[in-house]
Amino acid sequence: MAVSVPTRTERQTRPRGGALQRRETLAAYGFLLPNLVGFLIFTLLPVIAALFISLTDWNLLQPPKWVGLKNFVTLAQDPLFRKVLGNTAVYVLGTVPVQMILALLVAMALNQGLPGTLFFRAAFFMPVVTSAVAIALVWRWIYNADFGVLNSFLFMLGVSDPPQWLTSTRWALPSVMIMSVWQQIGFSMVLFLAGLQGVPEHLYEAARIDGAGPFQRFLFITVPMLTPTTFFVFVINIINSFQVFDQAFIMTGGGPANATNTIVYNIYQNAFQFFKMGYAAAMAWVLFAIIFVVTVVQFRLQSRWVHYE
Amino acid sequence: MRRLRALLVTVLAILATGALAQTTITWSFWGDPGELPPNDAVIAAFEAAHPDIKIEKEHAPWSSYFDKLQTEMAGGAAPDVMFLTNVPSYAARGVLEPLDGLIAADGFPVQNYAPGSLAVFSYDGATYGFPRDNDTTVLYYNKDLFDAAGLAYPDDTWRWDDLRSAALALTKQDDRGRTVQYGLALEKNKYPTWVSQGGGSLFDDPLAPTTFTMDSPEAIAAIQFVADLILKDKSVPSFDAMNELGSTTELFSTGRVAMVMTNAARIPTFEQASFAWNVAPLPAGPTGVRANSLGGAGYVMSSASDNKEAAWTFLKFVSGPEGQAIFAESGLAVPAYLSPETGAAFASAGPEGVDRNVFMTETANGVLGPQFPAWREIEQTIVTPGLDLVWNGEQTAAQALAAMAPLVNAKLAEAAGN
Repeated sequence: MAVSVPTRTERQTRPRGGALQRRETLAAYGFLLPNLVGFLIFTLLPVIAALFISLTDWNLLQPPKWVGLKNFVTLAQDPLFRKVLGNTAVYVLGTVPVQMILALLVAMALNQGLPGTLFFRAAFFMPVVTSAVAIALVWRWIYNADFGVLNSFLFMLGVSDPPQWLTSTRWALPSVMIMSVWQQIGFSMVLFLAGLQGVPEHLYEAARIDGAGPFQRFLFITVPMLTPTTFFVFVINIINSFQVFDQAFIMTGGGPANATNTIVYNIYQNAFQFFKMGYAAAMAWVLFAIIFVVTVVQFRLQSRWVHYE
Repeated sequence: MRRLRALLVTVLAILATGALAQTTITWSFWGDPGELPPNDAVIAAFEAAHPDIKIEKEHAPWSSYFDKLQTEMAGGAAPDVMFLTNVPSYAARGVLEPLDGLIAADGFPVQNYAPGSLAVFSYDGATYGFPRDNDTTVLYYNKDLFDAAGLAYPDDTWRWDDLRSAALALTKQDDRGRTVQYGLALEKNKYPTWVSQGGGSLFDDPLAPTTFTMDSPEAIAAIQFVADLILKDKSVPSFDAMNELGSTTELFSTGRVAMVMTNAARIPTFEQASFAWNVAPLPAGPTGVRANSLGGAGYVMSSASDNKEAAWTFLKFVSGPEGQAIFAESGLAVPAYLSPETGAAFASAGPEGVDRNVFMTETANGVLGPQFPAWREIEQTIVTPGLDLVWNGEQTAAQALAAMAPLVNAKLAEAAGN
């Protein structure tokens, strides 16, 4: 990048003050104000309020009762919370890597400039912009054990006892994960595609002259050059996956036997079905802490594998 | 001159409004558009009898009704009179007005409600509302399918075994073993009725439970009986498959199932069906025990109401003989207020050839289900998930219910400690 960033000493030695600069600072804050106010009212205040609520018993209607850390203590012993933590972890670890690898492969295929690229790019992106409810309802039909497309297909292939996809505790979570991967590939694909198009062609040319094969070019040029994109996609996907909710809400209701119940769905149940706002807020803070730690770790490790040009 | 007259008219108009000082109260209820007419009829009849009170209706579909109400309650702006279920859980949060003083002062005839049905509306010894109807379930059967199979119609001599053999005989499969016609379709949330018919119960006391009793041999046998219909006989569609196949209403009205157990609100839909049908009592359990659901939704008053006197006047009207007769006449709901008038109005609501008296006799078999604030959470996080494993065949009823009992009892103890 050619833009020069003033160094620390430069900034300090630059003559301070001056009416012009003060006016510019004010103007800058003026432009930032709408966003800052929105952030303050709709993000920061609720987050702080949730911390306060998590230390109370509150059923929404009567005034909150201060209970200190009781909600967090109960949470630590709640077998259902352990179960939803486990489900969410399996979901995150299962969907994010698979989804990213598939998205990268699709992006590379679409980056070849073959005929039909435009169509396939739109096709892969379609699920991202389709209503989650519509997707879940169609996939319910696909998964239907007796009448679904999937089992009819397996039956034709000679599988006499195909899985009871959404009704068995063994297959319900994997079923939901498969659907999620399909649904989210498009988002990562578009980002990877943009990343791929930003890799300068001259690097490939140089490598080709040096005798690098397609696999070597992928490994030593594409992968390192894509690391900033990969990092971004990874962070966003991890955060999104920890917050998985729609699938459990629409497809399975968290069932069977809580096999697809997730952290956010359980928060929803406690808050808006059982009216345990304090308990739900405590869960929300635990989720926040988990996502925060995971994200901080990701940023810390960034310098080891992400190459900025 | 003309200006003077205009002024005079205005002054008169203002005076007139003042003289007829009307109190406006809001009345909220849910329902399909098809259920609006009887509610509008109640408003019209009430306003004719009480010109000083105006009713503003607040109508929402079932799916969004409770979210809306929650928000209004939290903001202290709940409707004066509300149609509600799960009354104890709201009463426990202090948003409902206790009615015992008003009932005693006016001598409101509470003894006319179906025996036990008021218990659903009480919390901590106080009464908070009155039932509008009883959610009585009956056995609807498709006469044409019974005739085609050469089977005798269900009647009040039926027990579970009769139901099971008829359901099996009415089930048809294609060459791949997929069912194309089911014998019977059930509703997942009606499992307490099966437990009662089997001679069991869910709790030692449905209103103030200390022990979960659904792990008794009787209750286990009842749950296993239903699971066997689904998994062994395959004469009943699995509850999960019904998400795609359709509800009891849709399956029955399209002739894909020969019998369903459901309530009176389905009658208008079934009237459109192209086949002959009738209703019969629910079959008795193996030892002859008859049971049905007791209780339904009802009317309550907001404790935050600014016009409690007017609200009480309307609450009495809508829940009492006048309002109940209007609802009974619509035939959509089995009256909870039992008087000769409501009974006759319901029985004659049609359609022809349907034995509506079955609803009235079955209402008398009602068994009170669990009604306490922690029940919703216990059912959704422990009982329903536990039963899922029985319905999908991963566990037997004995295994699932034995596993559930300590979890439910722990929750009961926790709720008692709060």
